[in-house]
Amino acid sequence: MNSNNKVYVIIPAFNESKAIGPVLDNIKTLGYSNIIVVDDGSKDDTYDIAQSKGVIALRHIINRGKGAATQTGLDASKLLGADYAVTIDADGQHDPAEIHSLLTPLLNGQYDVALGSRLLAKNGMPLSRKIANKIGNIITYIFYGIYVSDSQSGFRAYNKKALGAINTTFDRYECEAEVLHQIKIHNLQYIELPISVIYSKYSMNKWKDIRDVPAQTFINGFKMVFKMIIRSITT
Amino acid sequence: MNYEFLAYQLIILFVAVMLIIRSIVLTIQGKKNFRELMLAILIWGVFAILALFPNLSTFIAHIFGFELGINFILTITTIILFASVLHLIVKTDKNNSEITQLVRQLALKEIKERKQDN
Repeated sequence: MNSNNKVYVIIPAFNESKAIGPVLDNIKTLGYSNIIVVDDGSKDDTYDIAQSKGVIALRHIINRGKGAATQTGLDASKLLGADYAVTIDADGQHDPAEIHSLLTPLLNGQYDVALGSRLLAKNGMPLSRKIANKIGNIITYIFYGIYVSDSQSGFRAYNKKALGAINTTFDRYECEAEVLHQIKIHNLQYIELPISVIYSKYSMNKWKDIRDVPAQTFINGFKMVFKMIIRSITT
Repeated sequence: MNYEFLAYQLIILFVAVMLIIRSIVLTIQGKKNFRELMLAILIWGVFAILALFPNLSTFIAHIFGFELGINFILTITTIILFASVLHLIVKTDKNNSEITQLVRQLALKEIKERKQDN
């Protein structure tokens, strides 16, 4: 990778004190030094751990959701003059080694956005999540006219053009679909690439404990659709 | 003409008149503006008129193609409630967006200050 390129890795995190440390260590080991952790109003030590690891730690004083935290990270990367930004989950379900795979088509100048897809990989996700994700993909297509294999993936990479264009307004998991909408609006070139997914005991259990659970669950899927309907009526 | 009022008519009439008087008092005290007063008089005035002349709802219902006055009232009430809920949701959504913007600006404050210093 050309060392002149400023790559920022953005990690939105909410109550991830158990996972954030190893995730940051892994990313740093791979040579990425520009790391932004956006602590989304955690009640635990997530922010302190991020600070102790020497990364850029930003804090939302109250919880606003993954979408809001991701956009804060993207805004921060823009302020810091990023050429590329990669968003990755804090719970360790994404493999940081795949950051390079996402960045490669962007560095080659072929694409503006690389979307990690858990469904293109062989060791994808459990069947229930696959079905929920498929429904999410169809809903995203109906609302935004863009069909991708994993509309809810948080592992994505953007070049400078995309960073300038994308500005999400949904606070929670609907933002992943909103990014796709903006890709279409701004006519950004995108590619889907397979990413592996690590469903650890920790990442599976935490969904039961936290308020802002992923959109892969059907209840949140309905909430997501409702918000998208309201936005489509009112904007 | 000899009018016989039923209890529900008197109750609705009493409540509507009290609420109109309350709105007038609040407007005089400067706690409500003129537009809000007019809206209150319009809404509660309609209730009072319908309470005084219940057959009026049937007459209006027929104009709009409803057989019964009660169907007309229920339909209009449902539409008003739906519009009110939608209005509240939109307003809440807007407030949430503004809170997020505020929280984001606070989170980015340090980076912005550092950038300005450089």
